[in-house]
Amino acid sequence: MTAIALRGAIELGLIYSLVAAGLFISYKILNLADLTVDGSFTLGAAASIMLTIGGHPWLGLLAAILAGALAGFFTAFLQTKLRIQSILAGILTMTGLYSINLKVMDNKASANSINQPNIFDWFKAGFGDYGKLVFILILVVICAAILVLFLGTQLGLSIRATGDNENMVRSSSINVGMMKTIGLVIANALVGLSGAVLAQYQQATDAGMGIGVVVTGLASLIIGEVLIGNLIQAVFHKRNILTGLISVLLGSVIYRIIIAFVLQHNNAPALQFLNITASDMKLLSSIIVIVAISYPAVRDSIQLSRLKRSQNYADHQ
Amino acid sequence: MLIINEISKTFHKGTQNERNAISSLSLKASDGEFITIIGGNGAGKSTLLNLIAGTHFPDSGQILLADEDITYLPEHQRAKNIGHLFQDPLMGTAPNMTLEENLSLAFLRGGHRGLRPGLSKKNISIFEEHLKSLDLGLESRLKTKVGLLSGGQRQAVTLLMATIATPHLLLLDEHTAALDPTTADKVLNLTQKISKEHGITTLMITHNIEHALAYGDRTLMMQHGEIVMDIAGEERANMTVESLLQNFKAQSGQNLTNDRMLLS
Repeated sequence: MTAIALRGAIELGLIYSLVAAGLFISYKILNLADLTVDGSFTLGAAASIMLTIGGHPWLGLLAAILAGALAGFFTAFLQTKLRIQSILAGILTMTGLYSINLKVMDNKASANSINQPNIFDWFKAGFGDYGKLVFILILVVICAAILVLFLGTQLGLSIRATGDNENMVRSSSINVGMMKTIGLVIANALVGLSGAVLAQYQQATDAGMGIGVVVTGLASLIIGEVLIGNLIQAVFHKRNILTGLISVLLGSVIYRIIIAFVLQHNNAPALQFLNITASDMKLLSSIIVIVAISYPAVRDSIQLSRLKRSQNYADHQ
Repeated sequence: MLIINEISKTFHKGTQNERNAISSLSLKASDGEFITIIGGNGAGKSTLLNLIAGTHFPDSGQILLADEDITYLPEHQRAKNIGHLFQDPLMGTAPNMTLEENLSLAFLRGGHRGLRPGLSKKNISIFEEHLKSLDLGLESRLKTKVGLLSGGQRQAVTLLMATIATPHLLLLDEHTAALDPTTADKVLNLTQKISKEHGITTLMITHNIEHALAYGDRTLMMQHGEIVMDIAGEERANMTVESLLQNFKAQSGQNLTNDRMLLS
């Protein structure tokens, strides 16, 4: 892989790592499958690109964070106050957002901000080709630091406990609905920010750019946990919120590097017969998530059938 | 002081499954009183505790705790003043969080949870002291995930969590039923000790009649959602398991005992 392709993959990985950080809160900590993400990602991107076109790229990031937070709040409201199941609540918000996103983009399916000043300009002037990478890296580190500090506060502890044992949280006089709401607001604010940065990074958005983002994010999360999380545990004997978040962020980068690698070498003899193209990546993400999440079930059933076989063998001796 | 005025609760009202769980029940418990509650299956013991805790709301009547009307207060809000333990030792603790994190959350009960650090050195030394008083060797395991502790240890921790920020009222729903006899006795003695030390009004459901008479100051018997027997003082001190069973039969014309009660 060339240096430029690698750099591009790392940049993309870091941008999407904010989605993974959001899912770390909603999926890992709160134990909610939040499908709002597909909509709030595009919402953030749309808000960002429209304000960039209007000459306010930084305001675009802020607007995206707020818009994402609002989307998360709405899903949480459906779940906690209107008692709609968590998956359905996310789907409802995501579907509704599709129309809203089109409205934000002036009723067009796509928008671009080519030749408009954007958030990367100042860093490109300072760091040349590495400007984008430097900016994204700083942004991700700031977000991660805030998140780790937040999860260590009293409020953060309460949110973590909510995902672990709601009953205990309620009997500690904590409002479970409020904790889920705060978690989903923060998660989707991060997702909105990710979409906003990507929009200005590629200077374009389209209404379908959020499709499958939640699955890609989960795949990153799982890759991070399996590869980096276990590595950190083996080396430092530690597994906590900080190492968990670092694993997830790096998982996103690894995921993008894998994709870039596969796409670049899809003509190699070993991969040629699969004829992988960019459009197959969503399928690949789905397969990664299915395999990773079903692994314990498959492992158990294999162990059970082995056990049965050995028992039969012993009986017939 | 806990005052319950004529509360009633019917489940599945207006359907074939309609079940009258509590019918115009009244009860007064003075501060620091330790009341044990016995009764057959479906007598309404757990429902009574759930109504007090706010898991369900009564159809009619009133519940006052420390002069505050809590009848329709949301569960998490009244939890400030009420500790509630269940039979399942897994219900009261967050398994993937450490002992100190669990205790910190419980310690903040009733207070505001803001952006201050979740763990503080000062609190942790308080936790160590409390854990020492449990005498289970847990004071050296503050960084252990609670999921790795045994059922008895977890129930003792839950008891500590329910009382570490002293509540007005402690509700115990067969909280030792899932533990082995030795551990159960240990947790029961601990319960009595904590309740007396802090003067916490306590309601304890048990299916063990011997325990019901041995622990606490007053014993209630429930049947069909009503209190059918209420004994304290000398009358209670002279009561034996046999005389209690006879008493029950005389009052209700039925046998109280079921297999579970006889076996325990």
